[in-house]
Amino acid sequence: MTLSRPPIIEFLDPGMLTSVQDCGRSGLRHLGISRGGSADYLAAAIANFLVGNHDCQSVLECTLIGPTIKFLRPCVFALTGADMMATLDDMAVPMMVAMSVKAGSVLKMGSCERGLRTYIAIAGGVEGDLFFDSRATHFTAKIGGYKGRALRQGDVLNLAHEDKDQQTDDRIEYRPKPLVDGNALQALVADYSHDWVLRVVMGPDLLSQENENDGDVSPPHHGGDYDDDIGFHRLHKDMRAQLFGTYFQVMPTSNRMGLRLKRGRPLERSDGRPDSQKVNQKVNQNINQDIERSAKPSPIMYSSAVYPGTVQYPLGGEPILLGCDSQTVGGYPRLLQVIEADMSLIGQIRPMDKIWFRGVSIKQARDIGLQKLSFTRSLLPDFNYL
Amino acid sequence: MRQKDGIKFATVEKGMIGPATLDPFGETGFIAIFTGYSDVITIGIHCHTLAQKLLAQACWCDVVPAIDSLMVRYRPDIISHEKALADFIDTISPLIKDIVPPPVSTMEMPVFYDDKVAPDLMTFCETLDCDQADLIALHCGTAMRVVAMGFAPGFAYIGSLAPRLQRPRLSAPRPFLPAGSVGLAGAFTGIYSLPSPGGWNIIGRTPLSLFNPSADQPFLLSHNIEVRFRSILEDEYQELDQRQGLAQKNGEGF
Repeated sequence: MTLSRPPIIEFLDPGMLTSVQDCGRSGLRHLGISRGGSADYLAAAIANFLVGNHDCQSVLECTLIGPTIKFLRPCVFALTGADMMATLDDMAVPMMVAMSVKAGSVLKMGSCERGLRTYIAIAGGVEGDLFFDSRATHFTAKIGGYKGRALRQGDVLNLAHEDKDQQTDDRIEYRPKPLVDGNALQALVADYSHDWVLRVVMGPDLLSQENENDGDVSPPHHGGDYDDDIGFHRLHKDMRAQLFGTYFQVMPTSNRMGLRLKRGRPLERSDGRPDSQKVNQKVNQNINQDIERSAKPSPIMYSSAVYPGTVQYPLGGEPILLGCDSQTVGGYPRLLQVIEADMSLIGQIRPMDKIWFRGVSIKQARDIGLQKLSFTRSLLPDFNYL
Repeated sequence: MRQKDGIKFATVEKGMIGPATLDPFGETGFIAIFTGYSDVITIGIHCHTLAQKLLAQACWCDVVPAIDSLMVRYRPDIISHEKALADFIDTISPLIKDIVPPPVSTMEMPVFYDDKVAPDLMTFCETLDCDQADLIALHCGTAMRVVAMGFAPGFAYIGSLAPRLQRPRLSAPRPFLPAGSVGLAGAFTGIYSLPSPGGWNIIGRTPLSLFNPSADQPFLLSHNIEVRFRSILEDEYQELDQRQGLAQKNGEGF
């Protein structure tokens, strides 16, 4: 097998952290293998759609500061996710549009002011090592992607269907989908800002917490059945204040595995009662007790399943919001779980951004999730990231 | 006041395992926690067995057994919530009588117990009020079984520890631990198979590589292996480390 054609792209500058990603390795968590893949999988799916790829084709994920790439052959590409002020041969490149380029063109990405990750889809996908049927780069295991690592200056990539794992097939050509209304796709994309609202349901270790009726809590209304409509109203008001009374700021030690959060200052009360300071102190006193109570079954908690979107709250520590490379089990109390509909946003939250959690019941979350999936599929018919 | 944990399994009436509790986990997941066994080894094997049954069913996108818990997530586009819940309960409910742990093979695991590679060794000894030699003797004294796999590829929960060695994990996890770090938490020894954050009390490091993606069998450890820890000195550590290429994996020496 010989390749007569040159590779498709060359990295003149790799940017801060650019890697090959796809939909990741789903269904392997029982082996300790996290899913990984594109952190903002929705943006990656849109990019693939724009260039005519299937939704899980391998793309380039750029982080904060994008790469400079030379196209060695004519091809079609599209940018989605965070806007890194890209230029193609010094002309501005719009986001969310499929672009045709000639050989020798240079795509230069800058940095993003909002959001964190940009996806570059190239028609035909980019090459990467297959591991468990995925080309996603797993950084710590050094598997998948390009040699299991981030791209470096001078690296050259072929198209996915030309890589060493598959037969070269020159018959595979770019077949554009019927013209897509870019505005319609825009409806799938959230506004990126430095303040994010993530909807959450109760995590398993919060569910087990005893409800101390402080007069501010709705009476329990189920009789020992599996509770389909569990809301945060059951929680003690101090716990609710702890989780929802303020923002959580994302620390610089965050990565694809998890965002380390620091609880912000509680808001001033609007009713003029001079107790915000006291509330704050009391909350801080109570929180450790609350978390301690919430950890089951005993002071020594057995490690148990976690997944992307789980908020772990270590006793006496600061919370961690697990990301796309989340470990499969963990031993810290799982107080919150980000709902599926908001999961792709986690991939765009950058250090120093603020997160506001908003509680919904599990039943509400399920309805929201089904609506979102159906809406996504109305625009991206083969979207299958589940 | 209603019960907090969703279903308390009607174990007596229906002859199910028990007691176990079932809770939702996220909007498309469930988690069962088994508390009906007296020792963690039996619970762990039970969870593993049930997980194998669930993995054969197409509707689950994740099946995650741990020590005493079993979590699943279903695909909402191919199965309804009600059906998923019913299927999950059906699968995990039947009593599996008289679990006989499958036969085990024993593996020796060399560990360099030294504060050069073990940030918690000294503090851990102080907490236990013993010297390092005692700690090493305790840790190496009994062969222990792989009870669960997870956290990272190749990471094994090995138990159970001598009661005296059972201590909680750190109150906040360290942002980085090198691969091979040997930690204690609760009833288990865990070995970090990849560089990662981690909150276990690190008392040593093994030069063996627990995850080899290019090998036919990528995982060094699995269920049904019994591990006997052996204390090694720095020379042997370095020699084995060279052979395993672990230093390269961690991108550093010590």
